[in-house]
Amino acid sequence: MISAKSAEIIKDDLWKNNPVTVQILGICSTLAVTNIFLNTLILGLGLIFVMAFSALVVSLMRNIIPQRVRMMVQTLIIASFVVIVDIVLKAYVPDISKALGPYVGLIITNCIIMGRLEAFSSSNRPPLAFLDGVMSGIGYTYVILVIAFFRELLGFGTILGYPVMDPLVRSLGYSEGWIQWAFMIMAPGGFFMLAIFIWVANNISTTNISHSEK
Amino acid sequence: MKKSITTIAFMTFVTVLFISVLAVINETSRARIIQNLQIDEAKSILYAFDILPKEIDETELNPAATTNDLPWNEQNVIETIREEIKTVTLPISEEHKKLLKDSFLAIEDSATIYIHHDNSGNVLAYGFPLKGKGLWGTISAFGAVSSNLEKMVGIDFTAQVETPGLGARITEVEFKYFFRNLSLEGFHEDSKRKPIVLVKEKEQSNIEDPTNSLQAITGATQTVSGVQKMLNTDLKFYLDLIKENEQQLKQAVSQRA
Repeated sequence: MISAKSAEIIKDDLWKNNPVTVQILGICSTLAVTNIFLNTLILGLGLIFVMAFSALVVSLMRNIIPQRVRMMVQTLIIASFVVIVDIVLKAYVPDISKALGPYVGLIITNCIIMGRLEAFSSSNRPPLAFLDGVMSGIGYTYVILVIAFFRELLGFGTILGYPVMDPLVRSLGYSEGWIQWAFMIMAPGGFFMLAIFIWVANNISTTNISHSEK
Repeated sequence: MKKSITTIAFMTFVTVLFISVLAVINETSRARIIQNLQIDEAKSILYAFDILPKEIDETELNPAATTNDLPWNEQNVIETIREEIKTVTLPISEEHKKLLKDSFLAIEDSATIYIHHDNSGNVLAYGFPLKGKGLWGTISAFGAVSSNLEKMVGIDFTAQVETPGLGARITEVEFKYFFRNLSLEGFHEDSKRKPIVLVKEKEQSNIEDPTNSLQAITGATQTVSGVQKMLNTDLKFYLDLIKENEQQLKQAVSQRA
């Protein structure tokens, strides 16, 4: 059975206090890598791994880390897990590693990780910190996946590289086929999709959180 | 004072601990990563020489496909490279170096030429590594030209750190296909115009209608311009070098046959 505290963490990280839509964290990668669904998925999985294990290790070490160097230690822990992800991708899925290019290394700069380690893991027990890490990672990943779905669909006319829009448009009688929205492939397209997602999420949220009240 | 020393000691210990763990993981994966890189490089060389897996028609591939999507068997890649490709290293003269001040070759003393040959020892094409500047970093490529040096056979990009979905699309078949049969006439003329140019949209590939133009990628102007500059600088050098050493290169292949 999930305890009340765990249920609260899940609800908070996935929706009520979602790192992207409510805390507006991790925006750089949200804009940069969400134009291809597969890259976004792999980056999201990498972030969940780094987030979960960094949270676990920080929580395990929370009582021995000197206060004045805690952020240095947290950065060291995050960087170590990011390097592990990078090595594993290069060794076992080199194609994806190539496609993601520098973005794997940039997981370390994702503010969500540092934010959650500092706000939650450094003051909570390991199981809860691990759960928070996983849920924050999932909370981030599903948002970027939704954005990536629409950006790839409209920008390239494909999903996971398979043509979707072109056959659809042609079957509707438009012989010239799907005209790609180049704007969606570029970073400004990410801004628009993110803004639309936040708008929709805030509208359907029962609490309807206002950023000015934070 | 004691507190500071404890903190420094703690930080040092934690750093050494994490670095040790990473060193072990790195060491255990290193052989596999190196092997992956070598196979990738070999696939790129074969792609540039227009050597594709049997029953593969490039025009029927997904335009977004990359070299890694080709259904190569690793053993076939190694065997094909061994049987059909030979390398020869040629010295770079001081005179050439002066013309290469913007190129990665400026600091090199020699250049490696890859020769694609048939079983009888006839040269089919020449290949060479290329390097240029993209938007975010260095773009490494492998280019191949026909044995009469008049057309490009192909190109593949072996390493790049361009924006995924934008500049990184130089690795896709759709972009690389325009290098097949690209006219190199401009390199043999004494003219100031650029030997290779970029156009917004091409109605036909260079296979149907050989020209000196490539189709640019929307949203990746700096990356594609970097590729164009890389070609216009390095190709001139390689074409001259091959022309000057043509006999030596042909002999190297015929001796082997």
